[in-house]
Order: sequence, then C-alpha cells, then structure tokens
Amino acid sequence: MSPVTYKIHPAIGVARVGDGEHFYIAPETAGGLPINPDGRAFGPDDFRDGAGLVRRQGARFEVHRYDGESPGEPVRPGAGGVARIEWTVHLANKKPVWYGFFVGAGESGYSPEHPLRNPHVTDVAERQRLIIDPGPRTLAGPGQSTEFSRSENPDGYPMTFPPEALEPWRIDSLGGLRTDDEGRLIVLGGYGHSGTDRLPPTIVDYANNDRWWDDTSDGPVTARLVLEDGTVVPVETGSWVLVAPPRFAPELVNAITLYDTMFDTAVRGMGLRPDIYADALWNRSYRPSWEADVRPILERIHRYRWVVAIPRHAHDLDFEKLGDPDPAYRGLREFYLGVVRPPEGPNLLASPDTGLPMMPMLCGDNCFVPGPLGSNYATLTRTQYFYLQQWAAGRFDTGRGEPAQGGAALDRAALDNCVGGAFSPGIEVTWIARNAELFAEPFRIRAKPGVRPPLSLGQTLTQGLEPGDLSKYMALPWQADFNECNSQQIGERFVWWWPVQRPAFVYVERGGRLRQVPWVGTDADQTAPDYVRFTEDTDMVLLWGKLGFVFNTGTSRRPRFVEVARELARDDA
Amino acid sequence: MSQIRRTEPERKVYRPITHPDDLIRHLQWALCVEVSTIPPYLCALYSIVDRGSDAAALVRSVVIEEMLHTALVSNLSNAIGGRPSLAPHLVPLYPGYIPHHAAGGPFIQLQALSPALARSVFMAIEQPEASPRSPAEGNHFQTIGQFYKAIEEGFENCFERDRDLFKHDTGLQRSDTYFGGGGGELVVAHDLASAKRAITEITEQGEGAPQARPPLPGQERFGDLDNYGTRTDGTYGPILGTPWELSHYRKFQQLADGEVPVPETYPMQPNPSSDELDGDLRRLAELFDGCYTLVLLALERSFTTPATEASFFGAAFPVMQSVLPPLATLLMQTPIERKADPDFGPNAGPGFAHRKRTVPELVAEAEHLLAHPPDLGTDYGQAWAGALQATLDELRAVGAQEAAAT
Repeated sequence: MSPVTYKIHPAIGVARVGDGEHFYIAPETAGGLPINPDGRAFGPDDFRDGAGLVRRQGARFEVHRYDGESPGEPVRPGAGGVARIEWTVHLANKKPVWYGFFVGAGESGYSPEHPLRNPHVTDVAERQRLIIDPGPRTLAGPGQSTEFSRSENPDGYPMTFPPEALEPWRIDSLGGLRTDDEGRLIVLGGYGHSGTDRLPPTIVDYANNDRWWDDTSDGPVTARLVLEDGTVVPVETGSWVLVAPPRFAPELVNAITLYDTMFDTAVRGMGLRPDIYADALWNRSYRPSWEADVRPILERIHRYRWVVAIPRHAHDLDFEKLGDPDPAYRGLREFYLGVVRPPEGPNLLASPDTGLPMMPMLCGDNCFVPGPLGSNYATLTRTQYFYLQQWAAGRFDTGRGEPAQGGAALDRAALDNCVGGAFSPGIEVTWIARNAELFAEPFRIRAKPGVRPPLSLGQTLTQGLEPGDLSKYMALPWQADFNECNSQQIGERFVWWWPVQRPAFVYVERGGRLRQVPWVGTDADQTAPDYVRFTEDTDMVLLWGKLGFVFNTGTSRRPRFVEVARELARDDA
Repeated sequence: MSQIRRTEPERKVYRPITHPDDLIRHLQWALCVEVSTIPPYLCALYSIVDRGSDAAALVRSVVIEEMLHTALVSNLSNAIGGRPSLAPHLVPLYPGYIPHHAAGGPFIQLQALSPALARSVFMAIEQPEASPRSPAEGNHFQTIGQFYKAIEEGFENCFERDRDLFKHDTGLQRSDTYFGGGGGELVVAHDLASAKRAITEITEQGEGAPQARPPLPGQERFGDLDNYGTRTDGTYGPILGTPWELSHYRKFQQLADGEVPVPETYPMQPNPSSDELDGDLRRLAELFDGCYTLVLLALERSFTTPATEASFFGAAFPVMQSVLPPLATLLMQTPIERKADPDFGPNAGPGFAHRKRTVPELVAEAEHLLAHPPDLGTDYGQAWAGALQATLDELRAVGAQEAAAT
C-alpha cells in the first residue's frame, strides 16, 4: 500500500474584494458563475447584497486525501477517522514597500536604480510598518469565523496597519476566514477600500502611488487534520490564497488565462508534460484535443466582443468546420492560425503576410515602447500556440481529451478565471507567474517556512514566498490601473487590456434591442480623458462598487451577455 | 470558347427584365463584372511591399468584398435555378474594358497601385450613379448601381409574373464562404426581400449610397459597432460606418486624393503577360496563371455542385490565401531583363490569364522551378524558395485531397 498523502485544493484560491459584508464563493469551473453559499442557483441579483453592496468572492479550500494512484477525494470531518480540520491562513499586503511597477523591468531581476515605492521612508523599521500585516489566523473547527482586522488579534501578533485616518476609505481589515460544516475553509478578502494619508486624495500614476494602501492581499493556506484518536496530521501540501480586484464578467474567460501561463511555465520550465515538450523540443506528433485545448482559445477570443468594441464579423467562427479534421478544412484552419499573433517573431498588430489584424486584439506586456521588437500586443503562450499549430496541421483529436478531475479541476478552474497576460502589471498576479522558481510544484506557490514578524522587505524566490509576496507587484491602489487600463492607443489603433475582468463596453437592453455602451465614461471621442474610463482614478476608488456586472441572460449556444446589477447612473438617454 | 479581350465599346439598348431566363443571363453578366474587378484589385494589393500598410488594408477590404459580391450573385442565380459559370470566355483578359459596360467605361488594367490607377480605373469602376433616380440599365450600363437596379427590377417583375420564382432554387446557395471583417453578410436569397437585401449589400458596399456625402460630425454613433475605420475624431477605431464612407468608391478616393498614402510598390510592368517572358520566368508566370485558374474552377464548382467543402475550403480558399500572394510577389520581384535592377524593374507580374492545368501538372511545375532558382543573389534565392515551397506544400495538399476523393 502506498502512503496516504493530503493536499489542499485549489492550489491557488482566488478571493475578490467586495464592498459588502456578504459573500459568494468563487466559481469552480472556467467561466462559471460564482456559487451561492446556500446552494441556490446564482442569478443576476446575487452579485449584490440586500443593501446593494457588492458581495465579496470567497476562496473555498478543501483538503483532499490521496492514496496511491487514486484521483483523491475530499476529506470531511466525521468521516474516515478525521475529527476536525484546523485551518491557518496568513494574509498581508506588501505593496507599499515593494519596487514600483514599470513595464519591461524586473522580470529578469530589478536593476539597482529601480525605484521603490514610498522612497521617502528609508528607515527599515518604518518601512516594515508600511506593510499591512494582521498576522495569521486559525480556525479549529467547522462553523467558525475570524477576521484579519485591527480589533481581532487572538495571539498578540505585532500587527501593522496603516494610519487610521485614510481618505477616502480607511483600512481596518484584510478580510476574514469562515469554515463551513463540511470542513471547508472560505477565505474572504478586503472591501475594496483604498486610501491615503495625504489629503486631498490624489492618484498620479496607474501603478505606483506613495502613501496609498489598498486591502488586497495574499498568503499561505495550511491545514492540520485532527483525527478521532487525537493524532494531529499536518497537510504537507498547502495552498495559497490571493485576494484580487473584482471580475465583472465572470462568465467570459480571458484568451490567456493564468492557468495557461502557469501551465506553460510548468511545461517549458518544470518538465510537467514531456509528451508535449522535452529537452527543449516540442513534440510534433502530440495531438491536442479540439474540445479541451483548441476550441476554448478561439471561443474566448470570439466572445470578447461582448465587453469591447470589436467588429462582429471578423470574429464569427464556424466551430463545426474548425473542429472537423477533414483535410478539406486545412485552408480554413491555416487561415485562422494566420490571424493569431505568434509568440515569437516581430510583435505586430497586423500580419506582415496578409495585413490582417491579428488576435487577440489586446495589449501586450509593454505597450509603451513602440516597435516590433517590443511586446506591444498580447500573444498566446507558446504552449497554446503550439496547440494551434498542431491543430492547423490536422494533428489533433476531436474528443475532449482527459479533463482534469477532482482537486486538479479545482486548481485549474481557479486559475482559468484569472488573467494570464498581459502583465502590465495585470489583474491578479504579474509576470512572476512565468518564473518556475515561484513554484514548489506546478501551480503551487513555494511557501517560505517559519515566517516570523516583521515580514521581510525583500524576497528570494528559491526560499519561498511570505504573505503578501504575490500581490505586492500589482498596482497600488488597484483601482488606478483598473480605471486606466481599459484601452490603449498604440500608433493610431486602440487595443484593449483585460476586458473580461474590466469591461470597456457592455451591452444593455434598450427597447428590446441590444445596444453597446461604454461601461464607464464616454465613447464618442477616443482621445477624450473620459473615453471608457473615469477622468480621475480616484473616482474608480469611490465608485467601482456601483458598476455593473455582465451576465448571460441567453443560453450557452445563443448567449446574451448583458449588463446587470448596475448602481451607477448612466447618462445615455 | 476562349478568353475574349474587350477592346471595343459596346452599344446600349435597355429593355426591362421580365423573364427568369433573362434575369439569369443578367446575373451571369453581373458575375462577370464582379469577377473582372478582382484581378486588378488583387494585382494592386500584391504590388504593395508593406502588406500591413493602411493602403493595403484598404485595397484588401475591397477585394474581400468583391469576393463576397461574387458569392452573392451566385446565390441570386442559384435562387432562381441558374447555373453561374466562370468558363474561359466569361473571364476577361487584361487589359480590357469592363464587361457589359457602356462605351466610355473604365479600361481595366493590371498595374501596381498608384493614385492615378485608383482614380482613373478603380474609382471609375465603382462610380456611383448620378442620382438615386438614375434609370435602371441592363447590358451596356453606365454604372454598376444602375445595372443592379435593372436586376432588382427584374426580380420584382419576374416575381410578379411567377410567384414560384424562388421554388426553382438549386439548393446550392452558400452562407459560409465569407470571412470578411468589414461587415456584410453572405445572404441566402429565398424570397424577394432577401434577394433585394443581397443586391442592396452589393451596391452599398460598391458604389455607396446614391447621395454621396460625408456624414456630419457627431452623426455617427459608436454604440453598435460594425467595423473599423477612421472616426470623426480623427482616430482609427470601431465605427458604425455609413454606406458612403465604407463604399469602395470612397476607399479608392482616399488613395487617389492622398488621404491614405500609397506606400512603396514593386516596379511591376503594367498589364503583364507570360507571352512577353521566356524561360523559367515564363514558366513561373504560367504557374501563377494555372493556380489562378485552379481557384476559378474550384470557385465555380463550389457554387454549382454540392461538393463545396472540397472545392471551396479544400482548394479555392487555401490556394487564394497561400499560393497566389507569394507567387505574385515573387513575379513582381523578378526583373524581366536578367541584368536589370529588381528595385527599378520593370519586373514581371501576375497576368491572370485563364490557363487550365491539372494539380499534378502544377505540382511538377513548382517542383521544377523550386529546383532551378535564377542566380539573382541570396535574398532573392530565399524569396524564390519560400514562395515556391509554400506553393508546392499547398498544391500537394490539394492534390492529395483530390486523389483521395476519386
């Protein structure tokens, strides 16, 4: 008999901020709707609570038991000799002490002159006090709760919080923990509160603003099983929780998801799939699955038109023909491969061969440095592109392949609902996801053992991450980037950023017809300061919680992704 | 019958179309007109060195819509029992007058793109009718819009006399062979309304709305977005375009007036023909003609037989995508006189002559040429090998498929 092992799933759970106390649980499928804690089907009214506030998205974790080759099964207290599960989570926000985010810098090491955030604070102890660190929290059994707040400090941890008098929002908590009756943990994040102690609140940059704090965070999730006989079994493979900005179109999926990016990192950097890539060589006889590997890429791109202004016809795809391996359709497949931007080679909007604009019509990591040697435009991961190449050549299977099961499916879904690029800096995490050193094993963050206060101002990836080390690269406050990064002018064309988390345009129903309107701001003049955004980033800090969500009121075959649950008035009579 | 070079203008007599056979005859003429515009536009497109330039995007959008019109006209003909044909005598030889146009019509030429070509030839082809009240005209029409007016009235007349007009549908109409990004839809005509919709689409995309004037600032809404273009704020982006600004006429006017600059082009000999070449260069020009003819025949099969999958998706579409452009560019990079500088020319070019060859014959030609690159330097050698290898790969795939089908 092989030894029993335990793992927490998902490997990385994603909570999202909401300005209300109530919460729902993160979707457990790619492009799935969130889950109501009471089990009711999720409807358009469930994005907000009774008071009209945005419900927070909780990240739900469970322990799985692995016994040799079996796929693993969730551990439930009261069954299999397990009395209860003790969960421990440590959240922190290190954004104010990390390096500033500047495109194209840092991924292969920061230069000595790379500016830090809050450079006016030079004393080490004072810098450490800029970190929001409420310390770890533990829940010892089902049906319990605790908060990562100023007022709750069960273990007398030397907590650090920002000054109390921040404007426009004070930050008193990074969230909380709940356990349900099934032994699962739900991690809740902050309230989307961002504030500064320099008045009046002013945001000068999309990514780096000194004397600002926000209440996003991240940190390790660990657990111990307490058996009926009193034995304590630590769960050796822990997870990580990431508290991210909201995702306003949960049913639409980014062309490059965080799963795609981390999978590519694991394939090319960690030897995860030698059947696809080994010894730096791609296996040209590998047959990706049309349904599982290829179609989703095309379909996600196809559906961007619900949240950005993209001409309809260029993206009408005939999936029946595209999924037919008949050699008669080779020309069709090659045509579509030809309009997908290759990850290698000059980075251009339009194909140099045909002149046709290439997909995806999104910004790349570096929109600010012009020229074909940069990365102005988004590209698929190399693994995704390899799948497409194999498909175009007719080397693919029409079936579903082997879909992920159990815990692996939870791992994948959580990441599939995040952005896997462009990383400028991104929504949930940035380019660090492309670094194999980040991971203890594919998709699992390497956690630093024996973390003690005060948290470190630096970081060595090979030693593992401390709480706050995953989200600290992101924009501070997140609302600044969220407001500004909707569309980007590159040359004379405008391309989009992360429209399924942050829509640029949405459809509303007017007189029985669907009309596309800007999600925020105006659309008449692309050069106007309020073109599909608030003129001031501080307006996003104040008003993000009033914006509408995008919800499919149609069917899966004939979708109608329309705006629902909007609380902010729109001037479009 | 062989190909005809139209060097004499034709005389004009118009009688309204009242019989389905006459309507089918006019639709066949319409098909000839639409097809006759594609080679000059393609030639202009291939002549542009930077295929990513605005000018290239503009010409390409027109070519793609002309292909849509070809398919729409074929659908209209099939809708009432016609059998559209691209037989050699229906496909023009260049240079020549546009078929069925009245005297004084544009003389179509194969040339590298220039403002003069855009004005004197392309704008003339797409000339809008003088007034929305301009009369319908059949054979020997003044403007394409008036010709389609005759066809539209023909549909009305024929439907008036025979309510079963659309019951003669051959079942060979297609709705899935159009991949344009600029709007438009491949309409299947199953009644008078859908037939008229198809006709309106052709005329609006081509010559634009009869009352041609730019939209006033603020007249466009950016809500329901149909295409990309130059917006009234001067930026390039999604717009709900008016027929006027999206018409082929207007697009060519932008090139003629210099609103959209004409970028560097290959110094191609105007109206090239393989007859003027010899040796392997002649064989290369004939290979292009053979591949062009392969596309025509496959296109014809795709709207006259049920085997559209193999003929359109398996042959016409991929050869159009990955054979014609590299071969045409290669010709345009090759000086006619061996010693001439390819940057100054005159260089060869695609002749678009009807030259029927079997796929194995074309494969053998491509193999021969690939093995015999002319000695014009390393860069040229790479261009030669790249274009011919791409051609060979595609032709072999088409050949393998044909062999499997028989």
